[in-house]
Amino acid sequence: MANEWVLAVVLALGGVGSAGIVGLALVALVQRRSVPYLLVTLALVTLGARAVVGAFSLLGMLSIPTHHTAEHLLDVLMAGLVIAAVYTARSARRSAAAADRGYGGGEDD
Amino acid sequence: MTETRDLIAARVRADPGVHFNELVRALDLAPGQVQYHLRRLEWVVAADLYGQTHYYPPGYDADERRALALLRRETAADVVAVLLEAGALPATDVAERVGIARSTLSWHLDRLTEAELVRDDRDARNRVVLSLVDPEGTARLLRRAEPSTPGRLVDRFTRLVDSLLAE
Repeated sequence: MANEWVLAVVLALGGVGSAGIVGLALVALVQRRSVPYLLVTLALVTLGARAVVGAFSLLGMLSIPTHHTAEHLLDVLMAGLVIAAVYTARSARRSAAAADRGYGGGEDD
Repeated sequence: MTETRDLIAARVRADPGVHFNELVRALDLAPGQVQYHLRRLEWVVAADLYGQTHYYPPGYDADERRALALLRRETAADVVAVLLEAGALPATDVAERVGIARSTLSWHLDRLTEAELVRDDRDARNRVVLSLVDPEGTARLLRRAEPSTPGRLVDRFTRLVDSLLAE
């Protein structure tokens, strides 16, 4: 099946790419040590998890319905994590602005 | 043998503040080899700064070593370059000129002010105004600081994330 080869290559590329970007996110997380960065890192981990789920179903270890459910569950998780990251970044900024009026407080004409 | 040592020595001289992994990667050597030769090179100064061991040729004091470790970060170097050009500038204008979110600037500023490279004062309107403590000295160090490729990637990743989360 030529199709399976294409899928295997795409999955491998996706796996390597997401591993690289998770690595970047982890270094950034170590530097920043903040909740938004933790959530962004986890969101990127779900991207890698999709590749893992794909590989399992390619190897016949997951049925197609289970595979679909898992992939869409990861979508929901990723969207939730990104929304949470944006939300926590906003509240962190607001408290920082309150603590340090005059810088980043948005009080510039 | 000594050829490898000369390579490492030349790299440390050319790139003050180079860190261990970078030496391994750039010179395509085994970590053990680099470790062995660094120990033999008695004039090399090692300093643990910001979670990494940096290596320096002689002639830099502790403040300069720390400054070099910071200026190897692309964004910090950009902030310093803007201040070299402008003199004193409100923080919001610095962020705008460098093209970074305020959260990115504030993270780098924490380190730059702590290392006493950048001073933050308040003007009459209570805005934070940034300036360099020692423009000439910092300019000299900035010319010697060369960011590594992984360092650049992490730096750009944080810039991207900060700007996406900010607005």
